[in-house]
Amino acid sequence: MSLNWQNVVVKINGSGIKAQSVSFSNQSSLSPTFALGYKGSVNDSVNGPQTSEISINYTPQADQDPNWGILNQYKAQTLPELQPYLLNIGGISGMFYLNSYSINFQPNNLVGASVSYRCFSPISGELTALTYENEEVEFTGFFNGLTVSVDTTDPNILGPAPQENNPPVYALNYDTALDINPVYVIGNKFPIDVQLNGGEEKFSLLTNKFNNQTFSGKTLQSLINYNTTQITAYTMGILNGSNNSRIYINFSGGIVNNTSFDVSVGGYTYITYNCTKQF
Amino acid sequence: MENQVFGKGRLDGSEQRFFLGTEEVPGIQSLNYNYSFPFVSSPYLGNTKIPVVRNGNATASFSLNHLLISDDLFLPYTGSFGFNGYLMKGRRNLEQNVVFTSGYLNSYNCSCSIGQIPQINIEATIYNGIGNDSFLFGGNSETNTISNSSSAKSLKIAHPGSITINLNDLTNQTIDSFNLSISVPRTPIYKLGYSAPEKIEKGGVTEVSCSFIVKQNDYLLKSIGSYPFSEYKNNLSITINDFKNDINILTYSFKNMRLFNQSYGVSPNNENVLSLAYQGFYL
Repeated sequence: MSLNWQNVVVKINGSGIKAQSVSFSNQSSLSPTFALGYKGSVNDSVNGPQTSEISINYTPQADQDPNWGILNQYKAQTLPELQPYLLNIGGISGMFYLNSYSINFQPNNLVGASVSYRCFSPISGELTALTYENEEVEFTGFFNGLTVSVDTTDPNILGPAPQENNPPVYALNYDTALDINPVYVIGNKFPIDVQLNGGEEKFSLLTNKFNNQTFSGKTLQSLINYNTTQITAYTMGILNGSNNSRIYINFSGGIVNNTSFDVSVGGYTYITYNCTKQF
Repeated sequence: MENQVFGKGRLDGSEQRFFLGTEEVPGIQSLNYNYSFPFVSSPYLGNTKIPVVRNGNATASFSLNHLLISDDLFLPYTGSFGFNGYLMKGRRNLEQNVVFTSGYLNSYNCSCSIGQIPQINIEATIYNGIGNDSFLFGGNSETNTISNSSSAKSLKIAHPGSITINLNDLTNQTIDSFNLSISVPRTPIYKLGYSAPEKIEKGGVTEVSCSFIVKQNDYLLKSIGSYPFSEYKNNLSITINDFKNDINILTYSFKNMRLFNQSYGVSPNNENVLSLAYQGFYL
C-alpha cells in the first residue's frame, strides 16, 4: 500500500519528529554460489547480516527532539553496549541504533538536521496511514540562525547575547558519526550485542579571521581566540520569552585540522575552520 | 437620490515629507516602500496542519523619484555608506510616520530632456528595520532634530541651457536628452545571532552608464569592426547649474567611459536621430 506523505508518521522512541523526508532500506547480504556442472549460480547464499537503514531530514524542536537526547546519551555512556530505540516509519518499525547526526546553522534561516539509524534485527509492520492527531505546532519551538549565541553560557539570558567579544560566526555545521559494531556469534542470525567503538564529532565554522594552523594542531578556541567553548542554539521563543529551551554545541578540545578560504570578485572572504573531536 | 460622500476627507500630500537623515528631500514625485515578512511554510510528514516559520533575511526595498530643484542628497550614497529615512505622513499622529534605518542605494539615475527639469530616481534596499515611528523608536525619532527642511532651502532649477555636457564625441552635437545610471552592487554579510547584517560591503564593480539622444549633425558612426583595437574612451562630465544665477547644483564626472552602443534612425518626416551610450566601471 502506498501512502500520501501526510499519512506517514515518523516516531523515534515514541516521540514524533517533524520530518521533511525519510529514506528507508532493508537489505539481505546474499551472494551467488557457483559450482562446476552448473550454468549460472546454484543458489544465493547468505553471506552477511540482514540490516536496515533509515535516513531522516527534519526540523528539530529543542524540547521535543529525541535524536539529540539519544546522541548525548550514547556519547556519555561508559559501557560499550548500546541501547537501541524503537523507530516507526509509517507503520514499519524496528529497534534501531543511531549512526550519525548532523545539524546546520545559517543566519536568519530555519535550522535543519539529519540523522541516520541502523537496525540489525528484523523489522515488522506494514505501511499504515496515520496522522498526528490535530497537532498544532508553534514556530517558537524551532531553532533559527537568528537565535544562536556564541558568547555566553548564561542560562538566564533572554535572547542571544551580544557577540562583540568574539569573532563573528557566519555559519556553523555540526556532524557526528558513530562507529557502531554489531557482535555476531556462530549459530545466531542476529547480533547478540551492538557496541559503540567510538565516534567523531566535526565542527565547521565560518568566521572572518585567518590564523595559521600549527604543526601539532591547536584547539578551535585557542586558534580563533574565543572566550567560550560552546555555541548555544536557542529557539525562536527566546525572543518573546515563551520558550527558553536550547541546545549546546560544545567544541571544547576539538583540534583544528583544516583552515581554508575562497575569495572571488564581488564576494566576501569567509574563513572556514574544520575541527574534529573523538569520543 | 442625493449623492453623499462619507469619509475622512480628501487625501492631501501637502503635509507629507521625506527626510534623508535629518534633511528634507524636496521635489518628490513618487516614493514607494515594499517589504515582505520572511516566513515559509514548513510541512512535515504525517501532519495535516502546516506550521509557518520565520526563514530568511528581513529586508525592504525603497524607491523614490524627485525633481532636481535643490541639492541632490542621494549621489554621495553611491559609495560605501548607508542612510536612514523618515516619511512624515502628517504632524498630527507621529506614530503613523514611517521610519527606516540602514538603507543602501542599489541604483541611482538622473535623466533630463528638452523642456524638463532633471529628475533623480533611486532604488535602495533597507537592511535594518522599517516600520511605523512608534514601533521602531517609540515615537522619539529624529523629527525633533530636523536640520534642514525644504522651506529653508533655496530653489535651484536647471534649464537645458544651464546644463553643460563635456564629451569629446558630442562636441558641436545637438543633444536632446541624457540618461545617467549608476549601479552599485551590495553584499550584506549576515552572522548568527542577529537579524540585521553585520555590515554591507560594496560587492563587485560599480557600473556607470550614460546614454544620449542626439539630433545628428556631423557625427561619424564608429565601425563595429574597429573594436577592440579602437576603444573609444571618453571622459564625461555633466554640469547642472541654476538657470538664473548659474550656481552649481550638481556635477557628474567620470573618466574613461567607453562607447558601447550606437543606434541610428531616419525617417522621411523626422530629423536623423542618433543614440549613443557609454559605460564605465569603477571600484
